[in-house]
Parts: sequence; structure tokens; C-alpha cells
Amino acid sequence: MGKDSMILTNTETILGKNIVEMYGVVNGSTVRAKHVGRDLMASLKNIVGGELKGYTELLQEARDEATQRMIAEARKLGANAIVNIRYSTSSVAQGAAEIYVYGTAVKVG
Amino acid sequence: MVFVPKEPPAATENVNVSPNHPLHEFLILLGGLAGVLFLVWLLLGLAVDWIVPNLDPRAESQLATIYRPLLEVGDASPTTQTGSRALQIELDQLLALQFPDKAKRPAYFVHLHSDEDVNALALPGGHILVLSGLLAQAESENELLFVLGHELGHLIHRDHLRGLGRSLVMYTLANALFGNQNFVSGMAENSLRNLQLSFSRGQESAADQLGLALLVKKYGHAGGATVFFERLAKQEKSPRFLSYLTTHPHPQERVEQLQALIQAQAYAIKPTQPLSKALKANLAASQEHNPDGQSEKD
Amino acid sequence: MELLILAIMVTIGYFAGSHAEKTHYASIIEREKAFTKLPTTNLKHPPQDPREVEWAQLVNGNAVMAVDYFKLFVASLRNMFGGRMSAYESVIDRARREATLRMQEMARKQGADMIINLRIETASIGGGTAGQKNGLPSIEAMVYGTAVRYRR
Repeated sequence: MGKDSMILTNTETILGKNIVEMYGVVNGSTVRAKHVGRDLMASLKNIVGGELKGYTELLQEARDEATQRMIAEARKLGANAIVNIRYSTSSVAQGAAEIYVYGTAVKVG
Repeated sequence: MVFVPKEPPAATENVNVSPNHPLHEFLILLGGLAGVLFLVWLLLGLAVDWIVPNLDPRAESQLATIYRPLLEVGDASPTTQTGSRALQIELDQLLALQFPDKAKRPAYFVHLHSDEDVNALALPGGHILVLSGLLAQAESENELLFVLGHELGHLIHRDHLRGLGRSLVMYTLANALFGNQNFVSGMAENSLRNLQLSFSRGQESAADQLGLALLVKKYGHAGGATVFFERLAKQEKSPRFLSYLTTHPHPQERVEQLQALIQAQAYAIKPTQPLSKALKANLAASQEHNPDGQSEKD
Repeated sequence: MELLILAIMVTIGYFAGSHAEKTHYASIIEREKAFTKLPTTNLKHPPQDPREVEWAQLVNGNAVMAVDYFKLFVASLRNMFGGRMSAYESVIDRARREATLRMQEMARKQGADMIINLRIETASIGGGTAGQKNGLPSIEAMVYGTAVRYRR
């Protein structure tokens, strides 16, 4: 792993490493709306069921962005790892989803 | 593990809020919406203009059955029926002038409807609805014939179908695209309707031209053509610049357009003929029927 | 006419909303600075400490934040084209930080030394999802955790 890389984990400790400093909670969030075309395709797909590819991609993109934002915040604090990461998704408005991720920024030795 | 306190990030360094200015996004989105609406309007116009001339007249009369009950209610009283008959004779004369070949002559119908409003409407299926308020104000036969000719122009150009088709498709499209109750869809609809107004202004002046030509064909002069709009212009209270927001052009504007046309075609202007007896009788009857209707409006 | 009313509402929403946001952020950052010495983490166990734990109990805080008319308008437009809804980001961020601060205030009043096992919930409430005419959408952030006090 390079010098700049951030260790992400959803466990409380990092196996094989020792956490020396803790900085507190960091979080990342983003709100995404799907466009009309995707909405139409999704409503068509709802008739037959199955995976909504457009939405899968959209939510994954959003999750990546939220994670990047959280990493940026942790980096500002001088952390090199984020532990105990939790994701949550909520619908804040019609047709829009919020992706939220939070964890504890720490420094491993 | 020890806890190391850290200061919260400054407001400008918040990773969870996009750094771009909200107005910037607002303008981009509004521009995008305007672009989409313009495109829809353009495509729709092309589609409707292509469909309307190819529409079967029988399909059109099918459409007309939708509001037939409404017309029958209007026709119920005997006075409006005699008026309708008198108007129908005038309309048939105009039709004969416009379509000398009897085989090609379409069947159009005119109905008198008791209503205070000074108006006449062209409806799908070849029906013209004249409101008795218009008849009450008419002073000459020439004037009335010009209005009939104008509505006939709408029917011949099939403007009524274009308008109907456009608003129907636009309404459906706005609902499908933007959701039913979204308030942006309401705004989109409104602006589409405003775009449509400029379209119908063009149609109005085309219909005016046809009405004028028919008037000259019948009487040999253009006297009385502008009387109706001149009277409307006097009654019109809204200032002229507001006319961009209404369906019809400002009456004064139309009077000027007509006068320019009369000059360009070098039509003569001669005294007008009074209303025929049958129509006058109807006028008296309709005022009796509706005593407080027109007298105070003049 | 409707357009005019809409334009006025959006303009009022923009100026009032951005002013409120500015003052709110200033107050959030000021209070957050006061709480930098109160460790807050979502780890289940506190960092090793020689001191004995005196008590540990649940603390929570919540905040409901409504969007202004300008944001609602931009978001409705955004809903058509898709993409990142930056108009709502600051609203959610404010709700969450405000809720966290309220939880920390509660913990401080009780004399806590740190907060562990933090959890955050977000929900859209108040009947108004964007696009419905009655009621602007509002977002609730609910933050809870365990406050811990060491024996001294």
C-alpha cells in the first residue's frame, strides 16, 4: 500500500496493526437524483421485475463519491485509516436518494 | 490508542457540500429546461402540422360528438334555432363563394348559443358557434359576415385541430416527463401554453385574411370589416403591451392589420347593409329572453 | 401570474435561505470548536484508559431541517436531469451536525468524558416529498450513542 492510501474497514480494530491515535467521527454524504430517462426505464422494468441496472450503477457511483468525501475529511485530520465504517441509504425527496457513510478516523502505527 | 482533539473544518472546506455556487447550478438547469421545452415544442409543431392535413374528416366528426350534447342544450330555445337557421343561410352563401365546385364543398354548420360574451368559436367537426352577445352588438350584415368568414378561415385551415392536438399532446407529455404534481411541470405547461399563443396569433391573421377576401367577394367592397374589432378595441381595457399574454392579438392591432390589407389589395369601402330581418327578429327575442344581458354592456 | 408568484417565492427563498444557512454554519462551527475536547467515536469500546468507568448511558440528539423554496426549485429541476443534488447536501449536513451537537450538549450536561458507539439515522419526514405542493420536504437527523464517565 502506498503512503497516501487510506485503510478502510468495518471492524473496530485493524488486524495486524496497532491503532495509536483516534481523531473522532468522519462522514461523507451525497444526494443523487436519477434522470427522467432512467425513471422511465425503471418503471418499465418494474412490470417484469429484475435488476434495475441503471439504479445499481447510480447508487454505486454515489456510494463511491460519499466514501471519497469521507476519506478527504479523514485526511484533513491527519488520519491514515478509518475503522468501524457504516453505510446508510435514505430517500430524502421523491426520486432522490442520499448515501451516507461514517466511521472513526484513526492513525495506525 | 489516545484521543487527539482536532478542530472542525472551516465552512469553506466542508467535504460534504459541493463547492459550486447554488445560482450557478440554478442557471444551468433552467437553461437546460428551456432547451428541452423548446425542442418539445418544435417537434410537436412539426408532428401536428404533419398529422392535421392528413386527418380523415370522418375522424374529425367523431371528435365533434364529444361536445354535441352541449350544442343541443344551446339549441333548445326556438329563438336561437331561428337565429341558427338565418346564420346557416349566410354561411352557406360564403361557402358557395369559397368553394365554387359543389363536389368539393365541405359541410360546415353554424349554431347560435345564448351567451353574453361577444365571441364566436370554430370547433372540430366543422361547427361554428356564434354567441348571441356578438349578434346583439353587430350593426351590419357585413360585419357579421366578416366574423363568420374569419371562423370559416379557422375551419378551412384546421386551426382548431392544431390547437387541440398541440395542447393535448403537450399536456400528456408534460405529465409523463415531469410527474403529475411536480410544480415544475406546472411551470413547463404554462410556458408551453405561452409559446402556443404566438402560434395562434399567426393563425388569427390568416383567418382574418380569408374573412376579408370572402367579404369582398360577396359585396364587392370591404366596408364593415374593421367595425367589429374597432368596437372591441374601444371596450378593451387592458393596455396594448399586455396583448402578448392573451390568445388573440389586441383588437387595435388587428384593425391596423386589416386596414393595411385593404389598402394593399385596393379594396373599395362602401356603406354597409343593415342586418337581415330574420337575424333582427332573433336579436330582439334573445334580448327579451335575457333582459339584463347586453343593454348595459354597450 | 403563477410564474410571477413562483419567481418571487424562489427569490425570497434564495435570500432568506442562504442568510439562514450562513448564520447556522457559523454557529455550528463555533459550538463544534467548544466540543473538540469531548471524544466522539462510533467504536464499541473506549480507548484504553487506566481510570475506571463510573457510568455509561444513552444520549441522543435530533434536528429537523426544511429546505427553502429556492432549493426545492433547483432540486425539482435536478430531478429531471439527474445527477448530484448539491442543493440538498448542505441541508442534510446541517441537520446531522446540529443533531450531533445536541447529543454532545446532553452528554456534557451529564458530565460525560466521551461518547462511544455513535449511530446516525436520517429520515425524510413531514409529508412533503419534493414535487408535492403541500409542504416542503424536511429531513430529520437522529444521532445517538453511549456517554461514558470515568471515576476521578
